[in-house]
Amino acid sequence: MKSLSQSQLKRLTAVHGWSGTVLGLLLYAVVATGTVAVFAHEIAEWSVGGAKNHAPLAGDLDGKVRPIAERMTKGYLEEIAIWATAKGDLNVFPHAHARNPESGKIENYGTLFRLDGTTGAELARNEGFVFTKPEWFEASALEDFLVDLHVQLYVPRPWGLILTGILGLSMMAAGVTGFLMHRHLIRDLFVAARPGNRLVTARDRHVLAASWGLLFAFLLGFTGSFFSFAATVSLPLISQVAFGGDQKAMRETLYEPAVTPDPRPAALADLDAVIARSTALTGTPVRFLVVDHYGRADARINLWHMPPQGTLAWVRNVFDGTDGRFLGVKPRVGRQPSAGNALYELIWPLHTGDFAGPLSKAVWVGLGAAMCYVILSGMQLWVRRREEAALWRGFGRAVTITAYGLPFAMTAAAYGFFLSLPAADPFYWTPMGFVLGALACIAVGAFAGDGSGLIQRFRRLLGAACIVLPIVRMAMGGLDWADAVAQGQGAVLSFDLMFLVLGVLLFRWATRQPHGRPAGDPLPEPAE
Amino acid sequence: MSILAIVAAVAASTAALAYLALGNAKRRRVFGLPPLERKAWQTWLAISGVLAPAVFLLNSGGGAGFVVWCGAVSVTGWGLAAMTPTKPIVPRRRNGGGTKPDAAQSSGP
Repeated sequence: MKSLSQSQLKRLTAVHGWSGTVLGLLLYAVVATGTVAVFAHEIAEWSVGGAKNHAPLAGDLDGKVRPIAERMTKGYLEEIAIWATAKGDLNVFPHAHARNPESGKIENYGTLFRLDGTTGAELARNEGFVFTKPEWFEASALEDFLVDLHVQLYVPRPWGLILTGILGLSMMAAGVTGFLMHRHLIRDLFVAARPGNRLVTARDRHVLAASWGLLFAFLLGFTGSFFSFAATVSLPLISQVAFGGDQKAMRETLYEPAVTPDPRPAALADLDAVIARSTALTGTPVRFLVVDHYGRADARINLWHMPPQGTLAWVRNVFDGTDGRFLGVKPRVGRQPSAGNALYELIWPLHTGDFAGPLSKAVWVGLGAAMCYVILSGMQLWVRRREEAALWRGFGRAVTITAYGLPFAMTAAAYGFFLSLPAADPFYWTPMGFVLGALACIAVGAFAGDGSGLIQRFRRLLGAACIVLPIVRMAMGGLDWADAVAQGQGAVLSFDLMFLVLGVLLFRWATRQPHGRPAGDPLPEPAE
Repeated sequence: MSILAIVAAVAASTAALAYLALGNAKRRRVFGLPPLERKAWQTWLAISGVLAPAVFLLNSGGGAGFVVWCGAVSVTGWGLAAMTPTKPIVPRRRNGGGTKPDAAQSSGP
């Protein structure tokens, strides 16, 4: 690589360091919550005590959906969306598209039926702009909160999305500038942090983790920004430029299969037979299903499958709604296979790791944890170089509080969820639990102990929170371990055990001397 | 592509990475360990050992195994490299005299 001049290096260091310092804490929040959100679906299953039915779309679906569709007015039969919740219930949502006066956007308006996944009994019914009310369609407030926190930092749209989009760009910028700054990337790939407590030791740790995670830092930053800006910038722009602002026309062109309108009445093909055929063709279970134009001759049945073994992209099969003929695989965007579609299809699996079951998700959690380490160690390094100034020592303390406070607050959100389950609204108390947990950590960080003692205290606090959480879950009526084993609820048992192991490890870690001095603990040393 | 094949590929690459880490000249110098004599072909063989499972995964599947491998090797490689070798020397400050300052100190930003 071409070596940079001193002034170029200085400028790059300034861009790398200041972008990390200004946005680092928020970036850490997005990456840490994203790391947890990789297992969002499993967290949902764990929090609701497991799924009663693991394959509600594979049973007698036709017998559950058809009676609902038959009693709906024609306007609501434009689309019927069907999917399973983490509890194993079925959401059946006949709807039309209408402009929401609150958001000014075209949104789905209809009646959402929540059915028992096994018996088909109606559990709940709600009418309106359904996707503005998570409590109507989500089984777990905890999953909803954690995903929302990652996607938009709990800031209202579109500002939250724009913010996380900018954070994704800053992550890419940090990756690129870091790559250019580091002159011996390959040569130093195996050089562990040098022993001791020196500035160079802190730098070694940051550089080593960043070097190994460079590719994925760029990839996760890019794909995250793509999603954030898609809804807020790219699609509205495409709608204006290519479709004269007609959102419906854009949606139909990009996402819907080509259909010649035919409003003549016609009975819908047997859904169960279509599901069985589609599953046999793809080899993976159906996760989402949409019936377009129920009761008409131009009806279409769209089925989304998890990626077939060895591949990355989800598959959307389209069937004729009247005779059940297989019409083909619909590309994610457009109506013909294209390079753009192939790239587009990779964005989701590459961002979430959701393509090869728990293995790929576990790897993505490891990558997310590595990114967290890079961000925190980078900020600590930046502060250590300036710790003579009281302001920077204060920032160093803020880094420590955020580093431990965020996981603690997420755990507190889980406490808010479980404690409110029996008698209160979990969709209110889950975010409230997070806020209370964050405030508690800020209070501990602001008023308790010096830098080193503070870290130990945070580790014990977090460890205790992890160990007690499964007990609280069960005390609030959650599934116990014997029943979880008997019912094959792997998510329940795995998460409980993970929290216990994590808690014990944190306690053990708290008894050891932390890596180096915390940033807020002043001890000037010569620059290296 | 079975999960087992992916795990085996990651394990094979990690083993080759461990071999490379063990004999890495700069790592040994930084930690005051004597150099490990290795022929160039041995190093190249180990590098091939790291990459060969990825080629196998890429050829035998639709890319999912390869992507998982990339992510997993990034994490295991970091974990391996971050482990300090046994019996590390106690470093001395530049102005403190004693051992020769390590070469890696001049690298990086």
